[in-house]
Order: sequence, then C-alpha cells, then structure tokens
Amino acid sequence: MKDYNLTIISNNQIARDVFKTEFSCQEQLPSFIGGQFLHLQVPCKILRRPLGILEMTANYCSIVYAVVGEGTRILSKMKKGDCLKAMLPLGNGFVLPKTYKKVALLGGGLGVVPLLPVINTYPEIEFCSYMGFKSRDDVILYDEFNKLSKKICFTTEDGSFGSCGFSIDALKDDLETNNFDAVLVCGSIPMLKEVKKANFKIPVYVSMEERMGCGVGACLVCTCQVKKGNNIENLRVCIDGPVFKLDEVAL
Amino acid sequence: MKTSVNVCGIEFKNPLIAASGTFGFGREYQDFYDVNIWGGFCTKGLTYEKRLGNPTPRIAETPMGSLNSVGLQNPGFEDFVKYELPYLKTLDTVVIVNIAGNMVEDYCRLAEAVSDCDIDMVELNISCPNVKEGGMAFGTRPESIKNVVGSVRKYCKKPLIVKLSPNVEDITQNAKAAEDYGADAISLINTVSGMAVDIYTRQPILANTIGGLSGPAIKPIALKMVWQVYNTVKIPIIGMGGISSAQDILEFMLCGARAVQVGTYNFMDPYAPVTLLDGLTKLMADCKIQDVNTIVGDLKAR
Repeated sequence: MKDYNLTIISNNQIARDVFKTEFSCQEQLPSFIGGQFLHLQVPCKILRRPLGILEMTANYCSIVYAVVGEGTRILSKMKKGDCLKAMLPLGNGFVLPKTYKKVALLGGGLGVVPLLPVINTYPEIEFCSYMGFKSRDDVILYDEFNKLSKKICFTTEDGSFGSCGFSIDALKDDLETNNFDAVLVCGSIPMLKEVKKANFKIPVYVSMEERMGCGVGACLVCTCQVKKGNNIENLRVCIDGPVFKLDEVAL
Repeated sequence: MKTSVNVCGIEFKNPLIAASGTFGFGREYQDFYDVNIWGGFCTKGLTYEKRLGNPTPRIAETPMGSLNSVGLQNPGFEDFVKYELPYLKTLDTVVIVNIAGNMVEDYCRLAEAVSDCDIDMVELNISCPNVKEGGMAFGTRPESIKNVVGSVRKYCKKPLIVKLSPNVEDITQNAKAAEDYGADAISLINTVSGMAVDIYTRQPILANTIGGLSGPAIKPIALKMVWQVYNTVKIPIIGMGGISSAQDILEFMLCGARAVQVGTYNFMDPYAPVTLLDGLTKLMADCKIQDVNTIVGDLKAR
C-alpha cells in the first residue's frame, strides 16, 4: 500500500454524467484484485475520493466515476498531463475460492465498474454478467463485459438498450438453468435489498460504498453494520470491506 | 538542531502527536511509514463499555474542512486491553489514551483502569460534539469542568491532559478551571460544531445532522484559543486545529503550544508526519531556529 503519483493520459465522458480517467505511473504499480479501490486526491479538496479501480497494469490504471458532487466535478474537468496522488490498492476485493467454476456478476448503474476487473482476476472462472441501467444514456462498459463474459445481459428500466427491466430479474430467470457457485453484486441500496429478499440460496458477495475519511481503517467513518452470529459489528468498508457477504450486511 | 519537547516530564522526540480519532489505535498507517516517527499519538476515544457510534454518513467535505460525526465508536476497555494494548507496548513513541464517558463515574472508572496500563498519558475528552450524553456537555462550562477534572484527578495516576472544546463562551475560564482542578496539560481545540446540507435531498449530509468541523478551516480559531489559554494558564498546552504544514506547527508553537496534534491532515497525506517533520527541520534551518522550544509562546504582541 503506497501513495502513487499518477499522471492523467485521458479523461473522457463515456455516458450521462459518467467519466473514464486513464492514468500513467512512472513507478511500477502493484497487482490488484477486482473490487479493490484507490483513494484519489482532488485539487483544492481536503478529503480524498474512494473510487473503484477498473484496470491496473504495471504503469497504467483507470477509473470510471459519476459526477455526483464538487470533488468528482473537479476531477472530470482535469486535463491530460495533470498529476494526482492516489493510495492504492485499498480494501479487500472479491476473494473467491479456487473451487468456483461459474459465477454471476450482478451490477446496477455505476456498480458495474468494480465487477469488470473481477473477470480478469479469475481467468479460470466462467462469468455471466447481468448489468442494469436506467436508460441507454447511462449504459457503460458494454463492449468490455461483452468481450470477457461467457454470457451477457444488459437491461434498462425503459427498454431503450438491451432488455427492458432490471438486471436482477434477468439473473433470476437464469438461476435455475445455470449452476452458479456465487453471485457478486454491486449497486444501489434498494437494489441490494431486492437481492437480499430474492434469497438466491448460493453465496452472494457485495461491494459496499460509503463516504470515507482516511481510507485505511483509522478514522471509523465508513462503517457498515455486519451481523456476526447474534451480534451486530460495525466494520470498516475501507479495510474490512468493501466486499462483504450480503447475508451478513444490515441494509 | 533540537526538535524534542517535554510535556509534563514526558519526553517527545518531536512535537508532533497524531490526534485522537484520526489514527485508530496506531496500526493502520504502518504500511506507509514507521509509526514511531511520531513524537506521540492519541488513541481513538475510549469508553469503558464498547460503543457502536452513530449511523452513516459520518463525514462530509466542507470548504477547507472536514465535518465528522463518528460518535465515539470504540471497542471498550476490555477489548482495548486484550487486542490493542499489547501492540501499543511495542511502540517507541509516547502513547496517550483518549478517554470519554457518559457520566463522571464512567470517566473515573476508566481513568483508574487505564492508569494501571503500560501507557504514558491520559487525555480527557470532555469535548466530543457527537454524542448525546457526556462528551461536550462536560466541557462547555467551568463548573462542570471543575467537577469532572477534579473527580478524574483522584483516579488518574498518569499525567492528565484535558482536551477542551472551542464551542464555548470563554475558553480561558474553562482552561483555568481545568488547571485549578488538577489538569497537568491542556490540549485544544477539539472540533468546531457544524453542519452540512445537501440541497438536492434537502437533508443534512450527516446522519447525525450535526458534526465536528476540522481541517484548515478551523486553524485561525484554534490559534486564537491557544494564544488566549497560553496567557491564562501555567501548565503546558498541546495545540491543534487544521495543522497541515511546517509553518502551521511553528504558528501554534509561537502562540504557546509546547507540542501539536495533527488530525485531518493524515487523511490528506498518508505520510503526514514524514512530510511535516521534513518540512519542520528545513523551516527551522531557514528561520535559524536551533531549538524548537525557544519559540514556544514567543509571539510578539502588537
């Protein structure tokens, strides 16, 4: 874990309010597991912004993020050549047992981002990707998922791209005919509640999002309530997560 | 060049202390640097019984500041002894345990218990703005400060630092009350009570509605209060509030701080003490300061 100096190679809008930023790094970047994140410095801001890592190789990394506030707005306006610091890779990604052969990825909106690199982390596992968006203007990473997944189903709530409806319903239709070892999910809280309610009867791992301070577990700001037996524990999304077992998370 | 300082007879190899609540129990930054580089560090606020803290969101960014409302989440004394203390004993830096409670009896019980632990100092947190009972309620009026400090003093066998809240009518009266009733040192300022609003949801950003403001935004308030308290009490002062550069450290020391605490800056720069100490020695050389102690309180009045 280190603070790296990153230089922007490109910073482009890829969907409605969504940007992809690519960085180069003179130092050798470490390996990472899909689901891990970086803690990015933003000019003129006190707090860093935790963002899921999309891709990372020896001297390259990329992120995809939505403009949701002032920090991400500043980030979206930065130019090629601008330098930023980022602590990486942070958190526990999707650590999967070696016995898994077939896994479903279930994403909603920006939640699809940390799921994509999981496919490259586990080349021996077969992945089926179920990704949902509000409308066609919000769709991201279709080509990337299409290239890497065994099966792909993109949905939009208004039917303007892919199937009409929710990604969770598309997954439900496939659950009986596919022998999935697990479901990996990332999306909004209402979506996670639906997934919990659906009770898939196979392990479901979720990547949680929370406002963060330090990013390394020192400040206890990014708490997630997790059930351990009969007790509720406040775990830290940044270092105990961001990936948890969905049935243990109190939503 | 001398950067070591002495507070209440305890030697700090440099004036930098990690502020409570920004440095956990000292483990988290080990991957970034040797944490023994700090002159000292304050643990996360400890209560006798475990506390889960407030709901999330617990943090928001504000202009040049950070607003938080953690609500004293901590493992409680028993787990502290079991899981944190053995590690703290291995550290070669001054370990200060920050203690809090709901009632005076809680503070006393915990002060007595931590006094028997192998730690160096106790910081009495009577200024947390983020809990409903106790916390800041104890630290706003001289009468209640006298009560809690006087009581804890009887049970605390370690040097006792009293951490003061800035959300008060007259900081000097509170500092004097702490000194008169047994404080060995004073640390200030805790966070400034504040609020942040989301116009789109029309809700406060923090789940707790209000929180404590920290970071560079509060530095001028902190400097003023350190200077006022320095001119009121004789016991050592540990200054804090938005320190994020070597220059900030010297500003606080000129206003009377014997040592300083660094909090929010840890979130801005994960190598905070490394950066600050490097800057401090360079700045001392530039300003021809041989011994950092010589500038404490050396502010020339206008």
